[in-house]
Amino acid sequence: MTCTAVLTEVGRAWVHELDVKIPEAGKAGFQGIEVFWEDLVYAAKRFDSAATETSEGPILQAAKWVRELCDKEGLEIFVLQPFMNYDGLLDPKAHDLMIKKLHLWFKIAKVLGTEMIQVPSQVLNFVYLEFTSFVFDLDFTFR
Amino acid sequence: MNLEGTTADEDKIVADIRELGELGLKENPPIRFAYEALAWGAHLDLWALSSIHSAK
Repeated sequence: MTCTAVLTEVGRAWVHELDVKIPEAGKAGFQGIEVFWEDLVYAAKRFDSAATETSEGPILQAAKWVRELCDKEGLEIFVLQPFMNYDGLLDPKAHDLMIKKLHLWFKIAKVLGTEMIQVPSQVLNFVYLEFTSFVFDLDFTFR
Repeated sequence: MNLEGTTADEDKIVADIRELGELGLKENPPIRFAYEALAWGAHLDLWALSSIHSAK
């Protein structure tokens, strides 16, 4: 049986860093990991402190770093996930933006050495794709 | 939950997922997709719905 550690479920990106989580997954005897987008975007800030989820260069650097950490532990990367809020978008522009994002994910998958992308069913209005506006909403709510 | 902007239309959802598959097939090596109906999904929230859609 194959055992996979899901990195974000091992600890959110901003609490536990990948150079802690990946070696721990290796030591615990897992055969592979599932890489979360959140972890990659967070790790991209190691390479560019201003990196966001559209910063292709730093995200690809983060992916290479993850691959190297996994190689040290002999871990496979089974899947990159979650490709969120994709299906059923009514606005063709929003759909096209997701297809553009998908092409970045293809590049990332190659660097990670995985051939699978997970797509969860649509959860929200596409407006919430804008992470900063979501954070703003929360910030506003708690003021 | 505000669902404005997304549709439950099965033909649209299936077409979107098929588009992923077609694009993934053009990659070398090909990229596969795992579709997961989240329990908190807006339109598809049962695991069985994933298999119905992937069968199309």
